[in-house]
Amino acid sequence: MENSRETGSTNDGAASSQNANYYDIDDILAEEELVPVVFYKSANGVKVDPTAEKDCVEKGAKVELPFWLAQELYLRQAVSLSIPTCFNQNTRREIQADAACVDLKSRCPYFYEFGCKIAPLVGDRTIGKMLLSTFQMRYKEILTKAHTTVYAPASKSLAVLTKEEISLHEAARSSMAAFKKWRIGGPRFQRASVLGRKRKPTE
Amino acid sequence: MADDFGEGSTAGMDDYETLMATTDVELLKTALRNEKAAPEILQFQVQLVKRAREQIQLMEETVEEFEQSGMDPLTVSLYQMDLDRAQFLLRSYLRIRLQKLEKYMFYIWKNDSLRNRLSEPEKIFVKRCIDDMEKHLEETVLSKLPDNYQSTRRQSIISEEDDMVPEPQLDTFVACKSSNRFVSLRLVDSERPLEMQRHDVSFVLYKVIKDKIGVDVDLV
Amino acid sequence: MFSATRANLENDNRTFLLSVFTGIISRHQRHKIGFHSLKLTSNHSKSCKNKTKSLFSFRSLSLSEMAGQSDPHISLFSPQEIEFMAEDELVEIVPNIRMDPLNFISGDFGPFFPQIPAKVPLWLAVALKKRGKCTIRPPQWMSIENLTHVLEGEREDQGAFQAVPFHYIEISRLLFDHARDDIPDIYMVRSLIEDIRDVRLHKVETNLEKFSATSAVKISHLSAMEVNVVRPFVVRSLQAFYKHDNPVVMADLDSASDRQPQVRQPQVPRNAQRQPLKRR
Repeated sequence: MENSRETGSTNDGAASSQNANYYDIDDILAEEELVPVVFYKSANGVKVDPTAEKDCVEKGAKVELPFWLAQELYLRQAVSLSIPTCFNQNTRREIQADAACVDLKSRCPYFYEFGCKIAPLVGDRTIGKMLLSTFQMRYKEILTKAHTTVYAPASKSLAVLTKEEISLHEAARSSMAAFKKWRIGGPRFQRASVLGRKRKPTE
Repeated sequence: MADDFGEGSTAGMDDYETLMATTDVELLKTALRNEKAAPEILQFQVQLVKRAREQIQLMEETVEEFEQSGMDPLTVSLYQMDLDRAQFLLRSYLRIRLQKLEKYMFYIWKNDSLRNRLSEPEKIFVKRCIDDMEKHLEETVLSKLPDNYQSTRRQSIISEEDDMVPEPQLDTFVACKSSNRFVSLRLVDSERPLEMQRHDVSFVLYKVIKDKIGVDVDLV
Repeated sequence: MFSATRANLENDNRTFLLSVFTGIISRHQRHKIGFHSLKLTSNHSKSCKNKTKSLFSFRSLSLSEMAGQSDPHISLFSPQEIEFMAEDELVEIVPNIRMDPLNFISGDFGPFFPQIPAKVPLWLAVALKKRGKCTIRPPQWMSIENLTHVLEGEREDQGAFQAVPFHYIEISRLLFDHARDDIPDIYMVRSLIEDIRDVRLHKVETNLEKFSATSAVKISHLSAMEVNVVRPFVVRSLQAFYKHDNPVVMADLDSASDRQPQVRQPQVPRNAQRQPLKRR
């Protein structure tokens, strides 16, 4: 079992690692991102668009659905998927021009995670490469300075970061802050947070 | 632990290191660091923990004797400090394991090789954790769901596998040092081996070095 | 997190009916479906409010208990823990008292005689120093000559780190705090060590820019505290690089297209509408 997981590229390995963070809030939210779909068949008793008159979706209707739903409908041959706007050619051109400046946050806060999820479904092998090169460029431009550079909270370069990029930045910042706090001093015998919750001597 | 430092390196340091490596405190420290840094649960150090417990108990008795025999308070307090430090290490080691067990109880329990890494008390702990968690989930949510969705481990009855069980992320990176003077690790077939000397720190993909932990490398 | 979940719930309402129709239950719905299906069967509609509440509490509990991967604040070791580890490093003391050998769990030290140097762990040295029972001899590497040499080396060679003790940051802080009077030229020594530390941290950052997808990054002479400071960022970055460079995405692609014909063949039987679909 362990061995098959270690090779990682087997279908089993991929499937299990995908469910491995079932309770992860970011993984859940990433699947809320919308995917444009076209219905292959009509669906009665369904109202996708609140302004629609009838409670049904016509065959050939173009709708945007959250990823988790679009994926299941796609696997059952009920819809066809197209590439979400945040991965289209326009966005890619902008990223190529100046990756660090592109406001990925407003386009899709879960840009990388969503990209990894959508790529296999739309069968676009270039998405994976694009994600790597985007990350590589933005990482170099913005993120590597996170330990020593103090950005103002409303700084422009931070405002364009995706959720994961912010987490990375925050990881560096808070680790450095903890170190500085230790360096400056203060109470030398600080209780570890786990130690603080001491059992009350009720017995 | 102590590293040489240019030409000012202390002679005899290596001898001392070998000596230090034999103390259980040093071994416990290494075990704690490895356990803390590894994403998954590691093999429980049965013998080491047993020895550490015995030494701690012995030291507790000794300190008590010292106090009663009216030994110099300075010496007693130094022994007490040594005792406190050893206890801190042992407790930290046991505690970090409990935290992992709580986090991945379902996953650890269903996997034989992982379950065998636990001590007997840890097995009892996990079993009880699972019972409590199942009971809690059933009472608060699952009993209110339709019949097909009442499993604590599977999303629905047609799931082919446990698809609701959180697993540790093995595709993560850990920082490690060579536990010997020099080590050469073959990580991935295509890449050249990773060679590390004593003073080198490497961030390595956990799953490719996990079998080397405690043998060739230690996590830092 | 609560508000995010709440917003989520509202967003989902428009898609919820569709999912019931197709019998698809994702984990997004799973926590809410108890509530909705009660509503649909209209047996327990009055208890709806309570149900939602308990569902929320279930979710937040299980998230905090079982997930935790995404909290960037969780650092592996606190600086205090690293300091604790460093306290076992040996230093030389010159006692001013006589004391029998100490047979500790952590090793045997002493016997101690006045004016005769002895090697002890740092924590013991500090404990004796605090009680005025010894002076601590600063380690050789803490000399101004050596530190100046190291600082020059750090500045000259931007590509590599100079050899410093693994715990140089912790040892120097402990000595500065507890044995200032034993360190000659303490201000100079302290500022040199701070400079070395700052130059090195900047160098680590410059090194980070060269990171790309790989399974191992080796940094010679990185110290314990430096490892710990950059670890959260480095680990997460390497993980991201690895993920985006990993063939799993491609393997998944193949398996997804493999999967498709299987779904197509049964042409989705009519009763499949009621059948829950496994989340892939």
